[in-house]
Order: sequence, then structure tokens, then C-alpha cells
Amino acid sequence: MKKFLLGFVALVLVAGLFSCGEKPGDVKVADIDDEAVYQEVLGEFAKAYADAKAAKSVAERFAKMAVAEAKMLEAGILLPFQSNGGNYAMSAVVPYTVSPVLWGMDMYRYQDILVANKVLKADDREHCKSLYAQYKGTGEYAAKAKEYLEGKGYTFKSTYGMQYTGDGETLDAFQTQNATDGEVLCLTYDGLIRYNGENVLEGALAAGLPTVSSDGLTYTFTLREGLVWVNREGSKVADLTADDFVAGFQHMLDDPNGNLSWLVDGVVDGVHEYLGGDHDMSKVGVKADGNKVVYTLEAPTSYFDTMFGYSVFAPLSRSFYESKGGKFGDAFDSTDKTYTYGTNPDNIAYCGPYILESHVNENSYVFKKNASYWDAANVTVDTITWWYNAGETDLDGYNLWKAGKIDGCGLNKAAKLQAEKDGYNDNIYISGTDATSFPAWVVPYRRGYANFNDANALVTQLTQSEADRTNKALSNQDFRLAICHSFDRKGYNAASTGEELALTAVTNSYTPGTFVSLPEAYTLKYNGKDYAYEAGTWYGHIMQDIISADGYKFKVFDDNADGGIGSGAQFDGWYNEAEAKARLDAACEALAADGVTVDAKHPIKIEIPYQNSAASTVAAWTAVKDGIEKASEGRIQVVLNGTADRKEYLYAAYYFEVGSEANYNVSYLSGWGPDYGDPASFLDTMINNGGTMVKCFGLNA
Amino acid sequence: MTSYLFKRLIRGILSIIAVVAIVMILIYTAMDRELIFAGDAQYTKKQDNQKESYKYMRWEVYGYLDYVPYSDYLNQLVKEGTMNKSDLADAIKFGANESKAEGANNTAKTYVKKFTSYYEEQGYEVVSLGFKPKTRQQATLFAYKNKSVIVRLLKYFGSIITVDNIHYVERHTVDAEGNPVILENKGLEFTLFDPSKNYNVSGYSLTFTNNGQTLFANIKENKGSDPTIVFEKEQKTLYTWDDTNKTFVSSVGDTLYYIGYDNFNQTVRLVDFEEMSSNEEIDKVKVKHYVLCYTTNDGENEVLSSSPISGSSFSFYCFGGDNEFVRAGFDGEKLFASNESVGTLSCEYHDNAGVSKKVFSPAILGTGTKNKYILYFDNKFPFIHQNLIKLNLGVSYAINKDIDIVQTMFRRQDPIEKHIVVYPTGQRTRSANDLHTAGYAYGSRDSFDLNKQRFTDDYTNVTSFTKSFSKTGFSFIIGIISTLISYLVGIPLGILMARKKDKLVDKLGTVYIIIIIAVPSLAYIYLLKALALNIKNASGTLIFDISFDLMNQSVGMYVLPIISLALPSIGGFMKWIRRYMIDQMNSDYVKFARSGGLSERQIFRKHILKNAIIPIVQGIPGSILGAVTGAIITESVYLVPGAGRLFTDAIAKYDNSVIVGLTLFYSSLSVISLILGDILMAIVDPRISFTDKAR
Repeated sequence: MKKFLLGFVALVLVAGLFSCGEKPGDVKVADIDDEAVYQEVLGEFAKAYADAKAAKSVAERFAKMAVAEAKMLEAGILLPFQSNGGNYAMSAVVPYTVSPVLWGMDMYRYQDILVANKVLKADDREHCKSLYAQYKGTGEYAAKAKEYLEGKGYTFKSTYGMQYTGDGETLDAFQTQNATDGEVLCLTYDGLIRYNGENVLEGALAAGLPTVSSDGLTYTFTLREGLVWVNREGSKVADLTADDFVAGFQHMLDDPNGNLSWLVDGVVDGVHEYLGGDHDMSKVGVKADGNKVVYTLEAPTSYFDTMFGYSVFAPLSRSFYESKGGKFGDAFDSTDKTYTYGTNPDNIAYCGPYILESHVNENSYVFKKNASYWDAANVTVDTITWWYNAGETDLDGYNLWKAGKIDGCGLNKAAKLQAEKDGYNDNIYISGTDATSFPAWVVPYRRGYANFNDANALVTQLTQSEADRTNKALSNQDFRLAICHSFDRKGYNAASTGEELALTAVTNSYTPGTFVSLPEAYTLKYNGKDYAYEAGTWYGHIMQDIISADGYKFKVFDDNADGGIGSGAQFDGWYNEAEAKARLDAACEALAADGVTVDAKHPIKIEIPYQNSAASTVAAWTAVKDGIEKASEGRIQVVLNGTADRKEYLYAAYYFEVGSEANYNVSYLSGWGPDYGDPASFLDTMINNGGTMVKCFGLNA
Repeated sequence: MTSYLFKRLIRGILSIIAVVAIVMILIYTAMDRELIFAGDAQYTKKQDNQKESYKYMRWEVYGYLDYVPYSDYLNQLVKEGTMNKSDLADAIKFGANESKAEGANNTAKTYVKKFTSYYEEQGYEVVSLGFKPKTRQQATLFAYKNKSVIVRLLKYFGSIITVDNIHYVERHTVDAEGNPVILENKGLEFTLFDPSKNYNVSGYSLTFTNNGQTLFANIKENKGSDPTIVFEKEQKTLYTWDDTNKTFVSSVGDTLYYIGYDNFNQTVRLVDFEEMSSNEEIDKVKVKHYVLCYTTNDGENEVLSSSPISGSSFSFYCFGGDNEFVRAGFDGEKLFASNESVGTLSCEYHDNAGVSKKVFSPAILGTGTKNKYILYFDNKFPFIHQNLIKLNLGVSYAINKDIDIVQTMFRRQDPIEKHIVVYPTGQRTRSANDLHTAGYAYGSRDSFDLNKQRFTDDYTNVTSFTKSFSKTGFSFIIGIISTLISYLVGIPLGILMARKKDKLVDKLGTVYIIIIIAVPSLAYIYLLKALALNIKNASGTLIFDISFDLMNQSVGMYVLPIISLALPSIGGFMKWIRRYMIDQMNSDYVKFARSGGLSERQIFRKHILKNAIIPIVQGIPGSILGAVTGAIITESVYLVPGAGRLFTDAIAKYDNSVIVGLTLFYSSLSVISLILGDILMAIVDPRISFTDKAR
């Protein structure tokens, strides 16, 4: 009887649904020509970008790439959102005594670091920054900063303590890409060239910058004299020769997981073939010629010398490697039982400023200065100790600092309160941001309405007709921009990380505005107008000029921000209710002409998947929803499609392989960090030919 | 009793197998393996074919499946000799790529077919991904097979013990061309004199005098330890050698500008005693070849003379200061010391070198084995060590990459510690190398000079002596002391509470018990830490270190973790012993004893306690053995490098083999402690017996 009743109820329910006409969730949309949609949405970007890539000089290239990115942002398929960083902190480290470069590993090389005996006052830090703005590029900044701080009563230490949150897994620099490994290892070896504290490229193991052949295909580095490899005890094991760079490169290519080789695949000559299985190193464009290391490229690559911060180009002591059972090419077998290279600090050779004296998991790393390092006399700090922070309590880092173990720490809410209570108000500052870009993505034509791997997970709440209307609306550029202009990023952050830090990590462009600057003066012709730029003009500045010239109302760069250095971050240049309304009006008009009525009674529904297990995330997305709905006067309705299961959320917005599987209209999850010092590192991800992030706005690249 | 225990043991082993099987099923079948890539930056940056093969490669690493790329198959064929190298070059180009748009050649086609049929026959899934012109990604071909849990389980238990043998190297090593290595002198060797403990008597002393007055001297070298170097002036010690910092420490504050030191291939150092911090190295010339002398001239260092010396290596010293003297050294034949401005310097040299001695220390050495030392003695607990039989619980992937779990748990930890080491060639050096760890690496002796100078064969793969206890060692020390404290404090307090039931002591105790149970451990651990942050000594350093500082180990760093662990278990013991005793107080035998005129004290000590302590006794082996598993929160708060977090970390990092290995280890521990607990209980309580007769 019960069964019968249940069945009856179910029958009534189903009948009820059918009588209503449509039910949500069962949505099927026609496929589209990805190429055509891409051209419609990003056609102008693609054209401008191709133009930039054909540039003759680096200045022209950067300027034109800024144009291309402006076009990309104008398309409204992504809203720049956030980078990492922008938190409260205290530190005794003098700013800019570690390289501020935004890619590679040079920002983790501490051989020039100046550590004061106590945490710097925020004012003094600001003064150092202004000194930096004044002396950047002259090579005098560190000395000036030291002099100033000594005048203020600081003294400098020969030890440096900092915290870390995750132990490395391997000490083989050539077969890992994990930051936890790389940050340790980059202290143990030197590259050929590196960015110094003033962000200028200079010779490291190479005596100076490379000579580049006139066709731009050959880079020749000349090694310093007397370079040596030492073991963990500091005893010399071998001379460091040009051949060691060939050995390192080959070992990197031999990595079965291809951790690093993708960086040079298609850049260095012969790499593509080597990775394809032709293990003949003589065909690869890395050669040792006496004390010279010569790289041959597949095609001219203007940013090639910015990639040297990675261990891809690091040397590997061939003899030491072989003594640890290491082999090359076909014979390389990482599972060989007598192969021990990189398994512990005894099993690597050192040519960098430091030797790994001690590593104990979840306790500490201790680095001691390498007395045989070529520049040992100028290494400022003798011992670097990293203390593990398990993050058990909010005050772990602060307590380590208070106990005198570390020379600075980030301050979360609790730690900041404690620091203020302990009288360190004047020492607290907001840390800088990095170049990682996490945008919110807007899909012009959505095809996924449930998770690709599980048709029952995060099923859409839209009905067939709603989904069709949404797709029509979002294919309209004005409509997309209306969303971008009414997306309340500040509200989102205020709810998730707190009011005070709501804007500290906010970015306004995909490539950070200060990512590169023009190496020389350049006059850009745009729409028949000349824009003359001096050397040193920020990328973001040019981008802003184009956006303004095109009549768009968002701000991606502020020349006066960051103490006059200029910045595209830490302010909200997009939120603009009036502009959102204007854009939406225009969009509604166009949609009406297309037979789609949009008003408060017939709103367009935008679906955003999110994880609703934490109250703060729910509040954050509610703020976004309210912002868009308010600015659109109800003409856009945001449907938050929540799941408590992180896995489902990841499959909806992160794991999918092709754009047609993207299960959202708008999402904020996938991001990108740069790999080398050229805007192409970002812009390449958006090209139609295999751009990695194209899938994020729902297209198949 | 024996048969009972035997049955218990069998049942214990079966339940361990069951537990491991359940864990394996959970990990390898019930879990979504895509989740591994959630935080993987690599995964994001890869596309198309690369991403697909990357996934399978990772899954193989994590132990989910067997993955065989086509190229591995071809290389295997070449190794086996069934395919020649020129065919390989063709066969590897099996798919279309930009240079060969039309597709594969015939050789490749044949081998692709062979590959496919070969692996499909074995139940593998063969995946072929075509050339992706947009991303220029070459065609990819691989086979994979999910590992079945039963096969996995059998294999796991089948390979749990490995025995080193003289064929090991030949079976597992290939040379650079991929050919197997053949060793001619395979075998085991028994010696009564461990070669790593040989030493040469090379003591010598130097005496420096100035105008007949002894300035300083007395350099001796003792076997196996560091040279004692003391500089004296009129029996007053001026400078002593501080071996940790490799500097001379001034006892009187005289100005002595620099001392060169190069014993045991150390490098020459300049020390400015006015500023002890500026300890800079000026030359790396080995004393074997040169003696360098330096003087100071308005702060500038200048090489006065350098000369090659013949014969064995010597220490040399050159020093100078305010009208003290300037240089001393070895001029090629004899030692000299001279100073132009101050008196006459002389130096006496006494050589005792040349005699080599052996230390009685039996050892078994292997050739062809994985490890050089199969059996040896040393001064570290348990003094006799073996590398023959190894417990193999699996190899870690993430926690301690490529290191097996047993080593991760039991190997001593950094920092390194230097000793005088006698290498097989006879070279003596201060080094951290622990020769007893020597493992085989083909061709390694000839790889570079340092190895040639030190070793006589390819057993050069040595790890360093390290100072700190192992993970389980630290956990055990902290665990066992806190357990002892809690027994010693908790039980008497519990007894007191029971005796003074409902009195003030009992009430206070109850308050403590309730608080310690109700408050989360993190809260009071944190409180303790905050208190300790304010306890500093005169120089401003913490007396009770809040983090385990392994570079400067002290007793103080153990205090906080031990207290943190003892606090809750004291509460637990108080609670239970009180309860058990109160239970007993109302039993008939107590009433009988009381009516028999025994004093309360006697009743408590002789009767109640004996009965009440039985359940506590059963837990003793468990708490002792359990100490090695460590404590998760306490250890991470105080940065104790113990075993506590291993398990949680392994889960967080998907280190599946570690999860399985630890499950096996921990379940064995608990089975053993339960059995031991029961035995102990039988000993304490005569009513309990395991023999059939008594039952």
C-alpha cells in the first residue's frame, strides 16, 4: 500500500512537472562553430596579437601586445579578479634586496638579502621604496637603503630566518616544477644569468649577458673562470664546465613526467624531436664550446633570456650525477634501484651560494653559505634557516617571529590583533602581490549543463528556454561587459577575506600592468593617432591608453598608484553601476531586435557554480549576485548553483578538457601564472591555436 | 599458554591482513583518482596528449595502474636484443607529426601492431592519441592496466621482506649503454677489523717559542677524534680551537689577527679576533701542496711565501698581531717560524706518524650486494647493525620521495655531524660520510677525483652521519617520558581522590578531569606555548624552546611537548583509577577485610589497589609501544620531527604506499600490545590464566 502511495505521489509530481511545460536541468543546445565564435569574440585580439608577434623590436612588441590585451579585455569574456598576496605583514628584510621579478625563481635567491636586526617600521619601508624608485637600475639602491637604515639605528644580521609551509619532495632540480622543491633548490645552484634586486639581468655563472647572433637564433654565454662543484661537506668534486649545462638540459628532457621540458618545447632547437623519442643530444640546440654555452633556438624568441631563472637551464655536474647511478637518454631509468641522484642532500652537488646543511621534514631547512661559491664574498647572509609552519593556529607564524626564530611573518586577523596589542602598529604593512592572474570567466556560448564526468552532478537549474536566452544574451559583448561592470569584487572579498583586505590583491588586467615596461622609447600608431612612449613606460599604461581611446570605461592602470611607481592592482577599476546600466540598455535593445525580450519580468539567468560548504563563500557569492541584480535592475538574475562537494565543483569549473564541457555561464576558479618575462606568457593562453585558457570561456581551442 | 598465544598471534596476523586489504580497497578502488590533480600546477599547464599521458604517468607513480609507453616497449626490445637500433629510430616515429604528415612508416606500423596485440593479450588497455596540429603535440601511444587489489595484496605481502645477496648488483644495474653489469669478484668477506675503523697514528706536536719563551703550541692528534689544539703563553691558554665554528677562541682577548688552519683538507681560514664574526676564507689551496703565509699590512692580506711540501699532509699555522709574531710554516723540509721585528721565533716539531693500527670490530662486507656492509658494529644503539634483511613496507612517493617507509620512520635525521673518517684507500679526513651506508653505483668511483682518492670500488654511495634521532625516536622519547609522568602522577592522584572521595581533593581532581576533557587539546597546548614565550633567560633566548631546534639541541625543547602530552593522560589515569577503586570499595571482600579489622590504609594498598590496577596494567604495553606512533597536534605545534603526522600527511599528499605501510605497521603494533597486555594482566592477576588446565 505504501509503495503504491509513493508511486502515486511520484506520478503526480512528474505529471505536475510536465504540465508546467519545461523542467530545469534537461538542457541541450546546438553545437557551434568554435572558430567562428572565437573570431567574433576575440577576433580583434587575435589580429592585434599576431601583429604584435611580428614586431621588429621588443618595445614595439610590448606596446602592440598591450593593444592586443586591451582588445581582449574589451571583449568582456574575462573579468580580471585577483592575484596572490596583498596581506598584512611585518618583516626585517629590506625591500628589494631580493629580486622582485615576477617569473622564474630569482625571487627566491637570497644571496643579496639585507636583514635588519628588528622588523622595519612601515615608514622606513616606504622610504626604502622611494629610494628604490629613485635608484632602480643604477646598482646603488642596496647601499643607499643600508645607509639610510643605519642612520635610523638599524644594524644588519648575518643570519636570516623565515617560515615555510610545505616540504619539498625531491632535490633533483631538473625533474620537478613544484614551488616547494624549487625554492629550496634555487639556493643550491646558480643559473647562467639572473635578475638582481633592482630587477636587472646580470651574469651569474656566466660572466655577463649572452651575445645574441644577428638572426636572433644563437645565444652564447661565456662562463666565469674557476667555477667548481662541491658536495654537501663543501669539498670540491669537480670543475663546473660548459658541458654541465648540456648534461643538465638533457637530464631535464629525460624526465618522464616532462615537468619542465614544455617550457622549451618549440623554443630550443631539437627539443621537440628529442621529446618525441629521438634521444640524440647532438641534435638538440645546447652545445658546450670550450668555456662557452651555446643555445640554438627554433625561431627568434625575444624573451629567451628571461627564462633563465628556471632550472631548465641550470648546470648538472655530469660526473657527480653519474656517480649517483644517473644515466642519460634511452638508458635513463628513474626506477633503477642504484639511482640515487637528488634523493637527499648528500646526493646532489652544489654550485650555488648555499649548501643544504640540514633538512628535517616539518621542522626546518638550514642553509650554510658555500665557501666555494664564485661570489661568496658578496653573499650577505651566512646561515638561512627556514622554520616549518604547520598552520595549526593563526598565531603560529607570529609566535615563531616572537621567539626570534624568523625575521618576519604574514599577519592574519588574529596575528595582526596580537601584533597591535604587542605594540607593533608602526611596523605593519601590506605585502605586494605576485603576477598570478585569477580572472572570472564569462562564457559567450555555454554547452555544458552538467558535469562532464557525472551527468548527475551540478546539473543546471536553468530550463531549455532560459538557457537559450542566456546564450543569446551572453553572445552580446555589451551584455558581457555589463556583467563585468557590475560584478562586485570588493564585496566578494569583503565577505571572504575581510573588509580591510578587500582590494589589496585585486587586479584589473589579465597581465599585470607592471609585468614589463618598454626597454626603449617607442611611438605607437593607433587609429591614426601617435602615442609616444618613453623607455620604461609600463605595459599597463599603454593598455589603459588604448582602452580609453576605444571609449571603454574601465580602468586597468593607475600611474600614481604604489607610491608613484604605477600599478594595475589594489584598486577596483571595473565596478561601475552606471556603465553597467548603459551597457545593459544597449544589449537589451540589440537583443529585442533579435526577438529576445529582457526586462525585470523576463530576466536573463546567469548561472554560477560554487562550493557552498563554507559560510564565507556563500556570503561572498551572495554579494556578487546582489551586485549584478541590483545594477541590472532585475534584468539579470544570478543563479548560484551550489554544491558542498569540492570535487563536483572542480569538475564543473576546472577539470574539464575542452570548452564545450565548461559547466557554467560565469565562474571564478581557474588562473594562470607567467613562465617568462614577456606578455606572451599570458596572451598565448588565449590564442585560438591551443591557448590553454580558451576552454575557460567555453570554447574549444 | 603457548597454544593460546599462538592462536592469538595467528588471529592477529589475519586481522592485520584484513585491515591492509580494506585500506587497499578504499584507496585503489573507492577513491576518485582525478582528485590527485586538484592542486597540480603541472596539470593546468599541460594540454591534449601530454595531459592525458601525464595523468597515467602520475597514476602509475601513485600505484593505481601499470603504465607502459610505446617508447619503453621499444627500448625494452632493444635491450633484449630482439630489435636493432636503426629500427628503433623508425619505429618510434609511429604517428603523424608536422614533418611526416602522411603518417607512420611500415616499420612503425608493424611495431605498433605488435605493441597493441602484446599488451591487449595481457589485459592492458591500449590508448592511441593522434597528432594534435594546433598544439604541435606528437601522437601518443601507451598501454595501461589497473592493478587488481588481490594481486596487489599478494604482491605486497610477498615482498615484505627482502634479503640482500651477492647477485643484487648484476640483477639490478645496467651500464650507460643499457647492458647488464658483470662483477667478477662477487662474494662475502668476513673481517675482524672493520676497515672503516682503521686509523694511522699520526699525532704530532708543535711548540712555538719566542726568545726562548713558550708562546703557544701543543697540537696533538688522537685517534678517531679531532685534534686538540691549544695555544698557550706561559701556561696560560690564549686560544682554544672551537671545532663547531672552526675558529680559535681567544681566552684573554689579545689581538691576534689571523690563523691559517688546514688540517684534514680543511680550507685555509682567516680569522680576525677583534671581530669574531668576520671569518672569511681566503684560499682553497690544499696544504698537501702548499703552505701559505700571510701578513697584514694596514689591513691588507698578502701572501709572503708559498711553497710545495713533500710527504704527508701537515697542519700549518701562521699568525701575527701587535708585535707578536708573523709567520710560521713548513718550508719544504722543516717547519719554521720567524718574525723580523720581534725576537727569535722557533718551532719544535715532533712526529709520531707512520704507524697504522686496526680496531677489533667484526664486520661482514659484500661485493655484488646492494650494500657494502652486511653486518657491522658501531657505537650507536643497538650497536650491532645489519643490512642483510630489510623490511619493505613500500617506497614513499611524496612524504620522503623514493625512500622506503621503514627508513623514513627509523633513519636518524639531519643535521650532519662530522667525524674523522678513514676511507678504503686509507685517506683520512674529517667528513660526515658514514661508510657503513655505502651502496653500489656503477662506475661511480671513476666519476670524479674525490671518489678516486677515497674509494677502491664502486661502493661510493654513502649518506652522512646525522645528529638527530629518527622520527619514531623523537616520538618515542617524548611519548615514553610523558607516559611515565602520567603514570607516576595520575595513578597516585587517582588513588588519593578515591581515598578522599567527596572531599576537597576529590572535587579539585574532578574539576581538573572535566576541564582537560572538555577543553580541546589545541587550546591548552597553545596556552602553554604562549606562557613559554615569556620565559626567557638573561640573554633573551627562550628557556623552553617552542620549536625543536635541531642545530642547537637542548633539554629545554623537550619540556613543552612532554607536558602537553602528559596533561590529558594524567587526567585519564586519575579518572579511571578513581573509578576502579571506588568500584572495589563497595565489594564484599573489602567489607570483610574492614570487619576483620584491617586499617583503611592496608585495605587500599594491599587489596583495593591490586584489583583496581588490573585494567590499567593491561594498557601498559600499549602505551609504551604506542609512544612510537607520536602525537599529531603536539608534534606539529612544537615542530617535533616525529612520526605523528606521517599518516595524516600521507593521506593529504596521496602517498598511497605510505598509507598502506603505516597501516600495516600500526595495526601490527596494536595487535602486539594487546597480546602483551593480556600476558601482563595474567601475570598480575592470578585469577587469569591462558592454560587450558586452569580454565
